[in-house]
Amino acid sequence: MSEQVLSSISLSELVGSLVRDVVDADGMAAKATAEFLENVCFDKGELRMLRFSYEQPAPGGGTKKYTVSVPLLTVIPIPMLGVEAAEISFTATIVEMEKDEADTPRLQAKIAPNTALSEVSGSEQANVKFTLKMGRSDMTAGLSGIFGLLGNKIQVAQQ
Amino acid sequence: MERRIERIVTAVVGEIERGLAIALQRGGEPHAGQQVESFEEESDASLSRLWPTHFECMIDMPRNRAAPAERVTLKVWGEFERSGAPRLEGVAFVEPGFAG
Repeated sequence: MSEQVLSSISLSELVGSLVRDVVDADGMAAKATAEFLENVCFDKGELRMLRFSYEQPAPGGGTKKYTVSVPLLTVIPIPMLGVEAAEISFTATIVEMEKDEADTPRLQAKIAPNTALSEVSGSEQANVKFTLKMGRSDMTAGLSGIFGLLGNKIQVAQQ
Repeated sequence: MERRIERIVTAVVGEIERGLAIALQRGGEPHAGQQVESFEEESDASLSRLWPTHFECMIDMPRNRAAPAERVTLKVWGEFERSGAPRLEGVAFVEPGFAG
């Protein structure tokens, strides 16, 4: 086996590790959002409420005092951190093509300079310029559900 | 020539599929009834909503082994199914050396 082959890795590992890094970064951002919710919007598992009072003239004269409770979660902007979209792009040189036990073709690759294919051509080897796009859904189903539930949590009580 | 193209395209698409399996196998979906506090115990990947949607490869290769200087360039593209499996949509010849 040549020195060139020794320094290569399988193309699948190359793809997998790059995708994994992007997914990890997005997960870290999601964790930061969750921590914000936990620290700001909840107090030991209980909804943190914004409360205020106001007085309103009563029909029979005088005034009545009312207290309003609103979940803080529905009032403040929530930083929805995350990777909106990602595009992974790299050029690899295929240094070896072999078959595994199941007769599946496997490719060993080396990262090539990120340049035009014509500049890395010129040998018996194949070069692959690889682009993978990733996207995400807008809001998690969990948060949509929470907002639906909290819509009924705004209370007005007469004192 | 056609056989060589078929082999390299099959191999590249197979590597993409295996690569995604490697990337996503350690993550997985958040489980039911998960408490906010338990996020700290989760791996970062399991919290991600990102998903691969499209791929495109430009493959530059010798036309045949006897004359490696004569090269062809293929454009291979497709989408990913929700399972993460790549679905090949097309293969086309493009100008040699075209970088996309």
